Amino acid sequence: MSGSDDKTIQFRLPENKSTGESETFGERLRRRRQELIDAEMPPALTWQSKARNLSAIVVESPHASASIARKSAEAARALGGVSCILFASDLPPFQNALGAEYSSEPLLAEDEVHFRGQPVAVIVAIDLATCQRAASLIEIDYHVTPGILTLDHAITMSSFHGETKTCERGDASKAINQSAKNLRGSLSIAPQRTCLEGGTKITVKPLLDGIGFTIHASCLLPTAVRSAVAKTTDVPESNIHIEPVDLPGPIGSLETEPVRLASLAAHAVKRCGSSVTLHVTSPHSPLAGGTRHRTKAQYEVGFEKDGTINGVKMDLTLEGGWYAANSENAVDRALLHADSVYDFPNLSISAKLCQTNRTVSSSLPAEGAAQGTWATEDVIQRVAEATNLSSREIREKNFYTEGSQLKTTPYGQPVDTEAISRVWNKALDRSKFRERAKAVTEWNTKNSCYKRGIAALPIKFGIGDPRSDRNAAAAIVQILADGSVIVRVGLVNTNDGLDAQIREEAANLLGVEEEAIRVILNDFDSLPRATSIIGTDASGLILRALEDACGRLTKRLREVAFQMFAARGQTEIEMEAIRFSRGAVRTDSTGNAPLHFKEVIEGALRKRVSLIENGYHRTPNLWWDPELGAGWPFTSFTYATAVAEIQLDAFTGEIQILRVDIAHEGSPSANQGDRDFAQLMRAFTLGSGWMLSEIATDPENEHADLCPIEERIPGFADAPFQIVTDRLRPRGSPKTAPGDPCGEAPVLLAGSVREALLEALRSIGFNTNLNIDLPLPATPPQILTLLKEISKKQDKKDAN
Amino acid sequence: MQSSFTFELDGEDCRVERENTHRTLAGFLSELDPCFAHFATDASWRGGHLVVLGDLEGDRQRFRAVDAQLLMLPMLEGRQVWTPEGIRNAEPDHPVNLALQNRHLECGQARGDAIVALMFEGYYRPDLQRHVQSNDQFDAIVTRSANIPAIREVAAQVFASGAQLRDEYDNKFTELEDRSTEGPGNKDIFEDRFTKNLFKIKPRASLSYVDDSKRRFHQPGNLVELLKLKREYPDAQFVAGGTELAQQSGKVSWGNLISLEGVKELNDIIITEGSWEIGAAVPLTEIAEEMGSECQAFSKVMCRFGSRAIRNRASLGGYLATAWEAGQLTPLLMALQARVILLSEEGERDAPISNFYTDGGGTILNPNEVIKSIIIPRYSEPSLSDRGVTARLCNTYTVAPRRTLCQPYVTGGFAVELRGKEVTKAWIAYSGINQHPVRAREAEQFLTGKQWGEKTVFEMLPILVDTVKVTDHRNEIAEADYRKQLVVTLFQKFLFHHPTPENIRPETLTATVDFAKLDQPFFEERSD
Repeated sequence: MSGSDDKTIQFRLPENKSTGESETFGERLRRRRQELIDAEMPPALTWQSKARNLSAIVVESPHASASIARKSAEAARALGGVSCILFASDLPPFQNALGAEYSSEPLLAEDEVHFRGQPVAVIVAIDLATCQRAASLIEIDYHVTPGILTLDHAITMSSFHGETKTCERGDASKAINQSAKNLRGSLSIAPQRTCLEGGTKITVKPLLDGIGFTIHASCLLPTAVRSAVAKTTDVPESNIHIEPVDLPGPIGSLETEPVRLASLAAHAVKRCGSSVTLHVTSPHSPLAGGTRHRTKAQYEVGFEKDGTINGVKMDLTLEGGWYAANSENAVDRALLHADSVYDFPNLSISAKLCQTNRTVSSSLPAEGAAQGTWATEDVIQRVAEATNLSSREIREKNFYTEGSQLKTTPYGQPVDTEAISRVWNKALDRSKFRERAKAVTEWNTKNSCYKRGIAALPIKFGIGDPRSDRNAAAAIVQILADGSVIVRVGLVNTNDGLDAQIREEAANLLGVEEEAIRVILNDFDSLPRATSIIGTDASGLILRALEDACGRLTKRLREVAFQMFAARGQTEIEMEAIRFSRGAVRTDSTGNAPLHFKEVIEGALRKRVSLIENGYHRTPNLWWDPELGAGWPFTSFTYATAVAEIQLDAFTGEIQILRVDIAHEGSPSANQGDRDFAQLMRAFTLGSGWMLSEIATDPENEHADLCPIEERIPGFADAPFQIVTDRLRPRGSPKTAPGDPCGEAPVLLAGSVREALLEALRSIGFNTNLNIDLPLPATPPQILTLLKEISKKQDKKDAN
Repeated sequence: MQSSFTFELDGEDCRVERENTHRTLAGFLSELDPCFAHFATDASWRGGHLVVLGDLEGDRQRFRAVDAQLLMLPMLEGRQVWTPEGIRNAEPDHPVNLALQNRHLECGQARGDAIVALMFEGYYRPDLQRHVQSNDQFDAIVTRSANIPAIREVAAQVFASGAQLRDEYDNKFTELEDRSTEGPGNKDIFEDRFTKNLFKIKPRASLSYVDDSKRRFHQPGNLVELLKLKREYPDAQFVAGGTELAQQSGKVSWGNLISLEGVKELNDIIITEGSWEIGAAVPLTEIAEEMGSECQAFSKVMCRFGSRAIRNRASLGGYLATAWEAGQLTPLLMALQARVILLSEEGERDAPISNFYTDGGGTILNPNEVIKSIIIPRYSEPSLSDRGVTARLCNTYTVAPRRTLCQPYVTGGFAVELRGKEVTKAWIAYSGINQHPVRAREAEQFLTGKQWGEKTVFEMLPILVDTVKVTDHRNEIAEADYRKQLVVTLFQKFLFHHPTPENIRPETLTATVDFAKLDQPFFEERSD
């Protein structure tokens, strides 16, 4: 084929908004270089500027909603040591935006601010103290406008992001009307807070003569940071190297805020030509801490006198903040979990996302799923009260069971009915539920001041992300000349022992010793795909990808070994019979001396066999269509039940969790070790903190000076006195079962603590007729106020 | 004046020269080696960066888990410090290291460190016997990522092995008079790499250290030297455990610091028939060990104070001098009728603790004075019957957002002395409701002479409501109201637990089901 026949079509990038032309990568790079040379924007990189490390801070909006009347930084710019001050107008045209996935939110506020903490300016100076001095000199005049701060306000104003999503089965309205009894209710779920541990610090350094960056940041999704920075600064993603900070646990960082901060820092670097460290110093800044989605559930339920529920209509409203980033996913998850483990024959669930004048809501483990499940549990509680039956009986009556007609969720994914009763019975038996419930009733009749409650809560949790594109992972396995192995994974290191699990699995698959394997997490330069650690079955996906890579490597090595055995005169062997184990390569037939793994590798190198493999796994057949309200959004479900017993001190409102029994189906990893158990406990602690102690921000008063969240998370001595867990293997081959279901589902189980608290309160006359809501979180001050209200209303009732 | 001193760091001598007197151990370590880089971050609300301090308390050698952020470097002179990293490396076969191998108790090394330090301290702790105590040992662990049941399980193994060694020793030397029931005591029971050097530690000697900026750190050896120094440097700041002061280092600069740790008279507990006289610089842990078994309320409130690492350093004198308005100890001290002995060159004076605090959040302590000791009366039956008192009911309750390591809402300390059923005297004290701890004198007076019981108390409650002022000084959601309610309900709780002198209702859980192994010892000692 001659060169002239070769019609190469050059790949062209999408049209550049500033020039109106589409260009190739090369053209764009040349143009960027030219821009730098023209010195229209930043100064050329000199060795001096490269050696400097400047500090930067963000000037945040103090108001939730306001228009900006005037911005002036003259005095601040004149201050010695200040390198530059950036307002929205100082950013290059079309670069003041975070991108479509963030509702095209501006990086720096232009004429209006829409939430407290919204960045208005960036100050870059030689040190932090100078930045802060300059910040005090900046003059910004705001005209404060009324904002939407609460969910109720947003609902009234019909302030929503996107469309309402629905999911239906049967005719709920008809069923409710035809039922013997029906009732309406609502539940408000306050959000839980999280924070970037150890303060927020993002360092961006110039790379490749200023047309690339190195980003050092603490974030949950490094690739999202990379993509956003590339887009907003108009450089190719390949020129951006990201070095994520190891996180202390899966909730030590945020998803969205680091994206914005890194983009701002990158703009500062472009402007100054030096590396810049952007600090968020105030722990109260919305840029340094996030909250879950505040949720309100309103429902209507129709049921029979025996507790059989005929129909449920439920509206879920989640607070999404000013712009929606990952919130749609939380809405989906709430919607998809609102059937919980119950086969309500007629069910109609709708979910929507509110737009409020607050910063974007963050995702913590079990985001959405917890809110959806707990809303349904509230329905069960109300029905139990109305029918005068125990909530246990109502649950058992309405489970998805083998005998019932429905074995799929309203959106069509099958449910393992046996698993539900298996975990339920296991937890009840293990906890001796009936005996203890009796003992608790006796205790409550004898004790007027210390009340106890015991309750069981079953859950079903969908593993994987309803956005099917997220359910994929890659791993690179490379065997070195001496037979040692490097495994690279694109996942933020949360120090939770996943690397050990990967090492163990890789050693098994390749038949080498664990010591020969080095696992590199955090490699986002080599890996074609990064895996998110919250909301996906991260370790399950990665282990499958690993299996894929190792499978192909061993196949190649088997051929090499076969030839080597043949060269030794051992021809009576079958290729498939060659096995790799503990550093040796053997055949089934006895008498054949095994080969050393290292020998086979040497052989492979001589034969020029490639010893590097990119493994990839995507969960097959996942889909979810919110418009149809149908799909197969999850890899599978994990089922669990928790029984919790609590004691309430009526003098002070303090609550102590006495005992928790958990039966959890999942955890099929080869070594049912500490890691799974630790994950399970971590998630349960997270949930019980949400239930009992971690107060969220006050929606009405954004300025309320709250204590640091670290002061409210449950401590060692607040843990249940006794914790019993049964980890059951799911049915079927562990190979096809998910790998990492312990990290999120137990958050939902913490709902059992609230159920137990409700039981305890009932023993002192708490019921829905009193029209008092049980606050969430139920902190001691709130419980004592509640107790006071109960007795007041009861007195009034008695008087009447 | 010397410009250098040494301490032992992970088994090797570490010389400190010209370092700032205010420098904390955490700051020092973070620059010493990259493996300590995480010590640079502030972790005070997450339990701190814990290390183990080997020290001589009186005549007993002790390992104490302490927060490196709250230790100023000169305090370490002649002491032994083991970092968790050092513990891991020095003796891989140590029971703590063996038990922690391949266990996922926390995410990451920085967080696992606290567990290592506390586990290590617990192994050598003689008074750690029952499962329920592991809550107190590990209360410095406040994270969302701790695997608490697994920590408890590992702790039980480790503590049992420590207890077993002590038991074996006891059985071996049961006939000897000098056998130690107190941990390493004066004999090295453990004979490991760590205790070997611990037994070489000498009592604190006088130290005068000056840093590069001419700031001085004095550690006098006795009261005479102390008062002399105070005269010489009137502006000098006293420091005992340093848990309060070290938090301010970096923000405030003191030209002269006078450490009370070496002053012998301030570090003794003198026990007489009628009272405990507790030296102002004695750490809280040591006090609890000394008087906790006799005064249950004291050990109870101690479990809610700070965290183990803070209690290991904080002293009663330091606690009083800082006049913490929400401090949990004061109400009980008031109910116990404790007295504070203040000392200056002019002489000694003493004051009941109820008069120690002044309006506006201060104390009666003069600038030239030092708290010498706190006298807590012991209420033995003979001493009460001498006064015609048939029973003394005393208890304290503290309410906080969580069990430890947080600012409590309210603490109440109550006592009533009874002659038959008649109240001869009452003490009702609170902290956390005002700028300083207060006593409800009107309510106390009302109770005096009345019959102890529900009727009297219910008549008294309105007086409590009217006379005890609650100020909203912390501006937190709904908290002032809550505090106001607690003033009443805590006293009701006291009545509930002590309805009559004969009938004391237990506070602990009398469970309908047996919760874990809370009451079981880690190690069953042999019955012979």
